[in-house]
Amino acid sequence: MKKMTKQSRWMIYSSIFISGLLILTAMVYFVSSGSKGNSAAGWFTAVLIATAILAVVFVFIARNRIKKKAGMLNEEFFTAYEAVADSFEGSVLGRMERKETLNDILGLFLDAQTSGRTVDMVTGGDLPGFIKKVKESFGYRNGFLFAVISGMQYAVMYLFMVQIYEWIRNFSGEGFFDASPGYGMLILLMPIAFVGIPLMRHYIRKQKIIIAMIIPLVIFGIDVAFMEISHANFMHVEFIRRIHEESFSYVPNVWFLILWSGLLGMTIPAKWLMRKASIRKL
Amino acid sequence: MARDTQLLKGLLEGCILALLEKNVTYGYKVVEQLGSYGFKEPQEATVYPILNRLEKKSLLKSEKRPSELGPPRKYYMLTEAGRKELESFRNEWIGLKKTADQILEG
Repeated sequence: MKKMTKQSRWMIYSSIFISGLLILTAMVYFVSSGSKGNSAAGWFTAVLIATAILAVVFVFIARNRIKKKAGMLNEEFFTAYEAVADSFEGSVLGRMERKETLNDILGLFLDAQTSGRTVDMVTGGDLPGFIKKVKESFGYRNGFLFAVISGMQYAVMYLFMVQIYEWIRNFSGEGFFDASPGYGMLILLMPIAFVGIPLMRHYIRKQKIIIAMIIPLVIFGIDVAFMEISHANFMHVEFIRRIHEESFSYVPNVWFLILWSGLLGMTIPAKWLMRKASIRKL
Repeated sequence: MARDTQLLKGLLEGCILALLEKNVTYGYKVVEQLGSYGFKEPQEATVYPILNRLEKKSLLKSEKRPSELGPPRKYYMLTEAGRKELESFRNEWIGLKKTADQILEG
């Protein structure tokens, strides 16, 4: 049985660490809400804990899937294959493109291994260069624009999730559209959607797991610092006062529901069209 | 040096099309065949992205066939557009070679 590579171990340990933090936060939230009778807080905590556990299970399954699929490769080729697979995660390649390309590369590596070649002979001693060439062979794709579109997808999903949470948390018979999460949450969620996740994906692709792990913590830290400092010193500024004191509904009526859903729906053909256009530029 | 790479890339594309005109084959065999014709240390890292690009441009098509090593192998073959491209490459290459020979041989 092939041992788990250093990269896989890192992935699993870091997912356990982040999930542990999430579980701890959920427990602190549950205790500090002092709400033994509040079923919404209980449900929210349970969902967070379940999500954290599922995240670890998902990472474990994903790493095992790579191990199982490429189990016929020797350690040298397997490590290289794993690096290729990681670099494709969250890249501008489509899901099917990724899957097919990884199959092709696995086949190439198996043939090379059987013929007694080494990874250096296959890649010319430049594995990152090989990965770059493979990605370029799909045509030029504007990574920044893809990141913005992905950010929009996450942003809209966060809006829905927060609105649903707020609706359930304060549920006392009012409608979904009346729930008002407020400005403060946007200050945290939008940087995560448009900056945090693209940066995390970037560093995971480069197999720099520690940096990827630190990013959400840094964003969270900046958010807490901003909220504390602004509350202590800048409440006289209208914009800051609004962030702290005012709330509004992200989905105030059915038209906004259609608008956000439409925006989310449009991102899928937009990405597909960008991929198609890139092939014409080859 | 970069110019050498560009020149080689263009040349390799034409040669790969020519190899695939003769027989339907898979990536590693293309690397081997290029080596057997005298290309110095052809690498999968160079050949696979070219095969992929040619396929995306619809000059090649592929099909999966079983492999004794494990997952099915991808076999490449020329399309009609690929044949036209190869023909055009041959004409350009013959013209270019003639000109270069005249200059180099004085």
